[in-house]
Amino acid sequence: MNNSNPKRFGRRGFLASGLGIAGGLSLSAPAARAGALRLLGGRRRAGERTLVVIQMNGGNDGLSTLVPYGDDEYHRLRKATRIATGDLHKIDDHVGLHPSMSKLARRYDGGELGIIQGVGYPGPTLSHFKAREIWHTADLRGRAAGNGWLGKLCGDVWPDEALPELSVHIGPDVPYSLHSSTHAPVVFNTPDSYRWLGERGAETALNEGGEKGKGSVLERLRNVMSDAQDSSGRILNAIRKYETDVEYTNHKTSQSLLTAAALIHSGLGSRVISVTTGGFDTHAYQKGDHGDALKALDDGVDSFLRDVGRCEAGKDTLVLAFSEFGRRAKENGSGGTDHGKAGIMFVAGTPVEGGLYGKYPSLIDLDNRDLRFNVDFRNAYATAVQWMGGDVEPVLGKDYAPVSYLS
Amino acid sequence: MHLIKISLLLGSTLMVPGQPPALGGQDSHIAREERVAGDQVQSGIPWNRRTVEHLYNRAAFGARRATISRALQGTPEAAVDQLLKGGRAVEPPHYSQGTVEDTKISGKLSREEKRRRRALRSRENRQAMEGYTNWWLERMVAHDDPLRDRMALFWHGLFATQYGMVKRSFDMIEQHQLIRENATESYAVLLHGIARDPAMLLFLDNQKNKKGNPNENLARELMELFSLGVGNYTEEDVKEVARALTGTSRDKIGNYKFVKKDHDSGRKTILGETGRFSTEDVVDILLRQTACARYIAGRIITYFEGVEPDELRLVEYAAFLQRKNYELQPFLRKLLLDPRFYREEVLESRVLGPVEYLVGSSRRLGIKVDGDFLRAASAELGQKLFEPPSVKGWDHGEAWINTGSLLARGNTIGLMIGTVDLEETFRSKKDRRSALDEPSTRRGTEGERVVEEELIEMDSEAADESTMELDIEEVPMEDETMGEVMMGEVAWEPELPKDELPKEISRLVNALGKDYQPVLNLSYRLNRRKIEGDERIVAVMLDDLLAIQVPGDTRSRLLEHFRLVREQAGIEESEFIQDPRAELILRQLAHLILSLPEAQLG
Repeated sequence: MNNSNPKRFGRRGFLASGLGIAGGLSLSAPAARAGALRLLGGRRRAGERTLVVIQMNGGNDGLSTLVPYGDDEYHRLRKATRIATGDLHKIDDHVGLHPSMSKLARRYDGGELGIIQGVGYPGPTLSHFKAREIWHTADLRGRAAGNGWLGKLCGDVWPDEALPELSVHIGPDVPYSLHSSTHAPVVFNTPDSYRWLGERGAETALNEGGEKGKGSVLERLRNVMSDAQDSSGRILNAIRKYETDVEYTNHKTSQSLLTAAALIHSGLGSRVISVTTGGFDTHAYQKGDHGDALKALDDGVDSFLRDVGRCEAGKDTLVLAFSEFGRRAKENGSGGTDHGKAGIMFVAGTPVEGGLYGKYPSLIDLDNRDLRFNVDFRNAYATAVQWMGGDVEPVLGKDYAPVSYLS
Repeated sequence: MHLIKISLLLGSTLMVPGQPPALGGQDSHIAREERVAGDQVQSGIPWNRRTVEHLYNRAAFGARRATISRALQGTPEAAVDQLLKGGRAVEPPHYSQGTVEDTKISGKLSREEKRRRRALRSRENRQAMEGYTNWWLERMVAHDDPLRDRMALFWHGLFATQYGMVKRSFDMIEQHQLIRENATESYAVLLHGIARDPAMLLFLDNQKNKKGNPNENLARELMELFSLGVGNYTEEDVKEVARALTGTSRDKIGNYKFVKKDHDSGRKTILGETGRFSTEDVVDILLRQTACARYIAGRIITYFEGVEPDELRLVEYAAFLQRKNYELQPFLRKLLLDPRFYREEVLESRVLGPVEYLVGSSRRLGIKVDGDFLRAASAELGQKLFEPPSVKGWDHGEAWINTGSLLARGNTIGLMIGTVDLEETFRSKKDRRSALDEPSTRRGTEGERVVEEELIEMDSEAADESTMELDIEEVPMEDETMGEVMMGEVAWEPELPKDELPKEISRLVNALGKDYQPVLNLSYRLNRRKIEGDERIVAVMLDDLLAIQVPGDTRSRLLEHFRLVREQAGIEESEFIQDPRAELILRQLAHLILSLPEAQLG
């Protein structure tokens, strides 16, 4: 691809082109004005940083990701799923990264990747669904606690921001973490289908409501429609215009991260971007499947970091990858592993101080066959909350001390 | 065979819960009542177009014109009783237990061969599941027995079970047949059935729940999600119920099986009662709880009304449900004939789920779409049948809607009626042309049209006769579309490589099929009904296609848009319906209408 003329919009540059886009898609004048005002509103805050959260769906096996090859117990617990020591990207004389993670291993050597070991929370659940709720709300009560933690982060840092794409989820199932009664996220699968596909010019008739019943369902639906129309033109345009010489694989994780990179480069004002990557629920035939899932992450994150590294906004991007739980210490009888407890988190990007954080959980002192956590994930969240300019307590419910993984 | 099996199975569990708590002197009076008759019918329901439509929006998959006028000629009671009675008896789909491996042989197979067989079985299962899902969705569109299918959809979300975990189509289909058969009949039968349902036992690990080594998964959800609701039992109850459920298991091929050696036959104390309880006893104890009647009454009312009932009403309905031994017909009758069901807060304010939206829209459009598309589209919009996101089922209401899903709903309809020009939208920008400049629809000549009309008359009569028993709905949709086939634009031209399409679009295009042509003739329909003039056309299209009446601003905005399109095409208002371009313009209007925020409500 061609990168001879990199598109770098300052806010002002974007503003002009943003109106151009709106015109091109025949959005009505009021809608375009609303968009412009929103952008102006978004400029007030200094230090505009972007948080990219990657959800590794299914429960990632920490023991096969950051392999404790130096621990004899590992070789006893794992037979079919054991990773040969010689294939690992060794980090020290105790642990090494999975062979599929060659690119992130290089980034680790370059000091841009942090690995938090033994991450979990008290009273862990083994249900995907309940565990995700807990990670999404940063609260053991799950949804009963209200909005998601990223939704609360948006409300805390940008209380008056009305830009629909302030928070964005790229993919089919929007995580509850983005749930917010005031700052609902923009959600789409692929930018190319994130638009109304009917007769061109007719979309203005979809929503330009005058009378809206106050607080009615219809009013809220109209707001979603106006957010959708407002953002879809900008997003499509940002992605279409985006040019990069960084190569991404065709895997959907990579493609979602390419979209994320395009959003960041375009300066639209998206501050929280969420992406999911799957394949971690490895109950059987783990070896091949888990390697593929990690490779998708490795490829995607590496391309993404290289790509965003090309611009200032990109350098102000923090990537945080988590999974709802780790897996059982001992493998099962089908060449896989079952749901477990403590796992690992990755943090990456220019702001990160590379290295290992937390302690590797003991493989002998287990919590009913599972690894014990020593870092509460909310302490790891707290670092990101503060870095984004938020206050920990209102976002996470308690004043968790941050883990110092930033430089 | 399988049906016989089901009825036997139910026969053994068709016990009514013992000793419902005394609820005052009304019991004996109620007990003498007919099965379908509820309490005194309450009058005071404003019976008009809007309330009729409301009834069919919630208790069926929407009302079409003929249904509304017929219902308006009768009483609310007649309409509700008709819905409760149901419609045609439907031939159930055939399904089987599939290939069962002979363990004596399979032990000796090579690793490769085992893997191959596993893949084969998995495909066999997936196809059976897809076929069955299509069958169910097509039942909904056909409106064979709409209230039953509405309730089956409700129970499927309440007794949520994931095919992806169970991986056995036979078990899943058996469970669904249990649910559908009893959907409007008896919650007691359903709960007894679910507590020993092979798919559920597998899904919630009860085959691992053994004496001395309990697994509490089913015990907990049985109370939390299936009967009492959270907060109405203790952790101690969970442990004791889990003990009672030990040994309730399934055999290899998917039949219920009680494994005596795994059952803990000791004394248990559950919700204050003590005894050597079995699974059946547990269900009876649950049914005796007031919390159970409250939970189920609350869930059903919320499902139909879109908002939770207030405390007084909940108490009233819970008491009624318990008094009726959890029979659902009297309960639904009471609810659907309750003036509060027709109150302003409830009308036109419930967000349709993806299945409701798709089934309702295709019915209102009178377009024939097969199950493959409905199945793919509902999954794409967030409601993959037999794959609820968790044991909690789907989140309802506004949770369905986000920016992406709202746009995707409209786009799905556009693909269905052929107004999305994939070529133009997704191919690189060269060679763009306005869709209106070259209308790609074609029409028959006048001569052909006369013949068509005659055919339609005949078909309508025949259809009327064949559906006498149905009586619940106007003649099936074939009536409106038969004979008036008009070709839409070709949905897909093969030159454009498929990978240029976003995946979510190509999945839908594939589900429609390569040679898909929407069978739809809106201009003919309007013309036959003598609908003329911009204002009338827009008003009729809105009324026909939406489940609610739109606010005035929406109506005038669409009118303005329609008028502009017509004028830009250079068509006189009076000549519009005769113009060859009318069909495309009307389809685009239909696409627009079904994309509106208002189209999400019902």
